[in-house]
Amino acid sequence: MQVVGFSPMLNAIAGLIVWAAHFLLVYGAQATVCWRGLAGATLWGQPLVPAIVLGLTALGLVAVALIGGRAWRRLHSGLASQEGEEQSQFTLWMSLAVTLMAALAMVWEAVPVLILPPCG
Amino acid sequence: MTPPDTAGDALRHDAPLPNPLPRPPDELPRLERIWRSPRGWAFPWTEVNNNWIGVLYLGTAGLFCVLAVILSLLMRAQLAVPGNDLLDQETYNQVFTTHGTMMMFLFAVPAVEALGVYLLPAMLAARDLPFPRLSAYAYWAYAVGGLGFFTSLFFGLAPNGGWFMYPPLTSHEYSPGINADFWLLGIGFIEISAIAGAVEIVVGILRNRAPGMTLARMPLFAWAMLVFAVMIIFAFPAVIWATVLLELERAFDWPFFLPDRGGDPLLRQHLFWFFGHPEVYIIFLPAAGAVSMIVPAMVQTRMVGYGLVAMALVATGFLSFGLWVHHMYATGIPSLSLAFFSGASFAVSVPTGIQVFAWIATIASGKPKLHVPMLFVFGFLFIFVLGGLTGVMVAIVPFDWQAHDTYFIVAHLHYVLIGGMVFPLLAGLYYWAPSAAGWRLSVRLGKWVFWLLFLGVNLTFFPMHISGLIGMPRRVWTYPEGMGLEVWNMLSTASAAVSALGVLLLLVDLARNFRMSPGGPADNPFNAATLEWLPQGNYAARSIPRITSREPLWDQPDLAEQVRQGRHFLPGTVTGLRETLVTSPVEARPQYVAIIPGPAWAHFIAALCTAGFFLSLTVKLLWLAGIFGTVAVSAILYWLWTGTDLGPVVDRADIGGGLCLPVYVSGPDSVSWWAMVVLLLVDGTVFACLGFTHAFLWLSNGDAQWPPPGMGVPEVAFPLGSLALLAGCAGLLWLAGRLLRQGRARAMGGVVLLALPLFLLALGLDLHAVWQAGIRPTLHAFGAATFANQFWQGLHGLMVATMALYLAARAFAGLIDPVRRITFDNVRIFWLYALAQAAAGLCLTHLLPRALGTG
Ligand code: HEM
Repeated sequence: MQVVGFSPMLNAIAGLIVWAAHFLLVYGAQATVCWRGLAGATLWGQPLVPAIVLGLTALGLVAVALIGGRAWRRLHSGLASQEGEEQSQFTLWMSLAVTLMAALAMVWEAVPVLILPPCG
Repeated sequence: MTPPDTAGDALRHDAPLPNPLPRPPDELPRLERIWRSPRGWAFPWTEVNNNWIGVLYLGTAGLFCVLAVILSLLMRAQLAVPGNDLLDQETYNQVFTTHGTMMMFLFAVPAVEALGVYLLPAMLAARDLPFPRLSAYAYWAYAVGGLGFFTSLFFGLAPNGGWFMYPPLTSHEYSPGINADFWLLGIGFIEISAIAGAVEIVVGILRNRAPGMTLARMPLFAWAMLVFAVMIIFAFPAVIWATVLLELERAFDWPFFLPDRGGDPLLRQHLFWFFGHPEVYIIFLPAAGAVSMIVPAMVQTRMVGYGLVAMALVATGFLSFGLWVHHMYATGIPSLSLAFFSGASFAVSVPTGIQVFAWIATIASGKPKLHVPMLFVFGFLFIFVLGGLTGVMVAIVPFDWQAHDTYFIVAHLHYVLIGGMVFPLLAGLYYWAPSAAGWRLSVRLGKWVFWLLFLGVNLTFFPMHISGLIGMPRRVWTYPEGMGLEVWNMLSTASAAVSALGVLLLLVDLARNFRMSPGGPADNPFNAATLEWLPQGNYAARSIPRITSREPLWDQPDLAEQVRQGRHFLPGTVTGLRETLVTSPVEARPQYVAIIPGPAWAHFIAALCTAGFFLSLTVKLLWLAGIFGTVAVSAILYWLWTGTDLGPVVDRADIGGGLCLPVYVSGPDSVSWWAMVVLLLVDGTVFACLGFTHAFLWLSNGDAQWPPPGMGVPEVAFPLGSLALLAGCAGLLWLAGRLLRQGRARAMGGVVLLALPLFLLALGLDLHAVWQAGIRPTLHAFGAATFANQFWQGLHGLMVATMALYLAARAFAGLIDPVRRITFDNVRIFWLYALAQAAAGLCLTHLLPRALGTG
């Protein structure tokens, strides 16, 4: 089933959807670990909470880089046009701009894990 | 049936105008007749046109604002001097709760929603948004329900637990009266009306734009309203769910929030603020969108950074969902968790900053004229930026621990709300009034209003920062002498009177100078660039313009005249009914001409009875609630039966420019399909909140209590049986679809009637399973959470049953066939969703405790 205009709109906000998933997972995982009293636990020898947070953040950054890169390539491929439901310049531009915003937000949210105790 | 895309050439900017002159002489009179407002005593009750509903909506929101301001004056009078006894403690509690609740739920959100309902059709050059009766229904339910809510104050029954109604204060033990129920039932259903409006706005913006108005050319106000409406769709379910839980706890003693039986009061805080923080942006974004329209017109230059501002709106919409815990810094949550929210709070200031700089740059690149709207824009920038600065202060966790629950917070929240929403709204009022009334509000009075409000508001709320830092707590009815609080409180009170004078003067101006004139704007007094300034009637623009840029009235100089002459698309009516042009979501290519409903009584009666239903529940008159509920549902069914899914009334509609469009489309391109999907997003979000409730209570209880001793987990055979029934039901629905495609609509109706009992049986079996395993809702939060799921599934059983019977009746009445099938499609989508949700509910009940707990 093809819905006209759906995929360009989804692409335009994909970066922020990644952000939302990252945010919920990071917060959810940390809260669960702390509530279960696993503050001192480790994963492959690394402290658990920072490992999870930094791992998820790396994943998130890769995801937005892929999305942004795709938008960038399409934007410069000459296929994008002012008028064209599936390849509109504007939604591609939006897709790119939004990934930058999402990357910034993910980094800002993740850095405190380097300084603060996991559950203190 | 998918519409063909033949629009290509007719949309090019160098193509000839779609319709030639001269126009047939009866074209315009016919259009006017069809769109005429009902006359005499039927007006305004039966009117559905968004022009009128929008203005009524705004007026009602304004009324609630004035009532809430009167309450605030009472509070300020009480606080003028220490030890005052104008209001006693209990009355003060009711007054501040009602003030805050009304301002947030009955004024702020409805006012911006109303602005959208009023402006969007004209701004997008749509005849109307796709579901005018839905907006009218939402409006009346809100107006009647809101007035009912307000009158509770006169009986001493108003809620008194603060506008966010935290338990345990609002639990049955500490609030045994029905005051709290007035909040829960009275406000709870007004949220539903906000959601109805949001559905209309999302679908309208994406599918009802003027041909050629691509997403890249959409006015920034429309961008803001789009984000606003989507945020309502994801945020309001959380507060509805929080409300449902608290009401279930109060009415039936299901202990969601009572720690002695496994509940947790923080659950309500999480749910409330998951709604409450986005709420702040829900209020602010439309106001910001309005500013982005007013500024370019005032300085006569194009908006700087259009794309960035649109991006900023979208980003704010998302990021604002990552802030909710910053209202809970003082609850003992680990500091790393708080840091995540701090990080997101900083991130969200980036898009807001982008907007502020874009406005400043636009103002700097043009020649600002100090019209009244511009004064209010400057007032907005000043007050809002100050509120933003104190916002950054309280975003710092240790500072917040000091300022929490003091008048510093009262000052901060009024600076952002009044600066971020009231001033832009007033700017919008002075700016857009000519588009409804045909002439401007008074310039002289407007300047007085501005200065009185600007000075009054600053001098009322600035001193509160100081009284807060001295240590005056919020929500207290009085304070002792000799703490240095006297002078600041006296100043606040005196200045509140000055603001009140400003409000009064505004009312005088409106009473003297505002009359609805359906003739539409006589001219374009500010030489603005967007389509709401085209000549308008009840039917919006005479013909629907083909546009080629973001500022059509500046770039297509003859546009107004061409539109008035009927030389653009759809200059008359094709079907002899009210119609609106539906376009594609990204590029706004014409897809089909949708028939939309006109004036009627059904939605009005349904709205009255919906409000009546909830108000009678509040005062525990169950029989009356039963009557109201039945009448409301019947009225809605009557409205659907007579007013929707009319089928292809005519074959094709020639709208000009060689475009021949269908007048009926079903499937994923139809607006009703979109509306249904949006509704399911709402539903799905409520269900996600239900899932969160389970996960949260499990975490706070620990494995050994999930389930607690004495309650078991039902045998596996039960959920497997339910699953089999659900699968059977899905199979029958698939069969029904096949039968309909083959043209056997009556057989389809029969199969639907077979599928219904399977679904209900599946739900009933699970209820039985849970009960026989010894799970009880009142004994422990585990049982309460399990039964919350039962409650939610049961509600869906009821809805699916109503829809299925309606569908079958229409099938047997011969109103459904392989082409005319929107009713079938909508019922099926909803039903399939309900099946999936029932399956997910089985996982919550049977899988989660097995996987996580000791059961
Ligand atoms: C002339 C204008 C206004 C005045 C003088 C005013 C005054 C007050 C006062 C005195 C309080 C109670 C403080 C306390 O005892 O804790 C209050 C609370 C509040 N106000 Fe206003 N207000 C005004 C406008 C507004 C507006 C426009 C909004 C929202 C759009 C608003 C939203 C609130 C909220 C949410 C609360 C908190 C209620 C609670 O604690 O539960 N107010 N206001």
